[in-house]
Amino acid sequence: QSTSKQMDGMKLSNDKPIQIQSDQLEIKDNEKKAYFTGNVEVVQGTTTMKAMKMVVLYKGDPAGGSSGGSGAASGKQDIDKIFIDGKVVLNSGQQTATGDQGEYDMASQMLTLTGKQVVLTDGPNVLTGCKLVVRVDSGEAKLDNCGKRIQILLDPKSKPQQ
Amino acid sequence: MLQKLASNHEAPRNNGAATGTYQAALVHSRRVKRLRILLPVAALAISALFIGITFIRSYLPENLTVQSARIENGKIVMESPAIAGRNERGISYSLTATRALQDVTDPNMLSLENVKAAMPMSGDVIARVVATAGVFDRSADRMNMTAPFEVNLSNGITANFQSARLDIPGGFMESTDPVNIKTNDAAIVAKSMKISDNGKTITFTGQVQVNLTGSALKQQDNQSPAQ
Repeated sequence: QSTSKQMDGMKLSNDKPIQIQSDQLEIKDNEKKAYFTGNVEVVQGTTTMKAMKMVVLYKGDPAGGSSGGSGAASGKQDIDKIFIDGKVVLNSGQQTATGDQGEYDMASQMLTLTGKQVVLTDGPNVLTGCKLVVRVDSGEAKLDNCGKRIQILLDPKSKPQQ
Repeated sequence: MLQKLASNHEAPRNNGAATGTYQAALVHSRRVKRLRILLPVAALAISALFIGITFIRSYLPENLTVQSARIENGKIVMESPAIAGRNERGISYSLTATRALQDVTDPNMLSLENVKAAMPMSGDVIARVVATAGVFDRSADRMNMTAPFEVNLSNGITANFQSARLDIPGGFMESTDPVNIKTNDAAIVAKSMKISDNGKTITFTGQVQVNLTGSALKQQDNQSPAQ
């Protein structure tokens, strides 16, 4: 079973600038990967994502390809996938989601948060499951409980925030 | 020289002539005395000059061309020195400066003013370095940038450093002071940075901040399936 919720806050719009902070960034051009490690924080508008580690995979020319293809910093590479690891906290406005790992696929615009316990709080309501899938372009989120019963704690006073 | 001596020898019998030959002998011995000093001195001077040239020649690296060089209070001052060469991958690197000062006691260290360097990085990306000051270690082709400088990579990245160590042929650079790197739609700021294995790995450490403008992601827009 899974419940779906509208998480408008989790929308990642493609035209707002993104700021990434971390203790260290290592760009390995031949692997086409950028490793952000240590207190990673990604901010776009009101949406912030925190984690211990984030690995950005970018497409772009194979290593040693055409002259333009070198260094993610050159921005010409398209981001392919982002892997997030370690105390992942996704926060936007009223809604917060926490988990152990996360994966964001640029092409399908899907952010998947997994972990022993994925907790989605929406204002006073708390939902727990083991996998949360958010369609970042529409904000639609689906919480999956992988077989276990979903625990939902609803605050009677909370009105549906549609 | 000998025939003259022999001829003087028969002359003493007539008195008048004796004083003449005595005079000649005096003149001769004075000339000999002078030559005895002059000749060795001349020899010394020539050999000193020869040693000097080879000494200076050995100071300057083979691939260094210099417009003019003079020695000023214990330092060799070279005008517009230029070093060029190819690294093991055959990509050329070059380094020019308006002035280079070389301490006579430490020939390997060249302190340079107004440096321009072109360094091969990964792929066929060339890093152009412009700096006001730097110390070039001739024995290892390494440059120590002691003043703030800028690096322009031929793929559109510009980087500003406060200081850095560069290994020119190896394409290795390290800066332990704040750096900031800009491209047209991304900017990275960090407390320190290291570029290794020929520009293939770039490591920023210390309060790293990456700003991606919206356009950096825009390219993805047209790829993702339309809603």
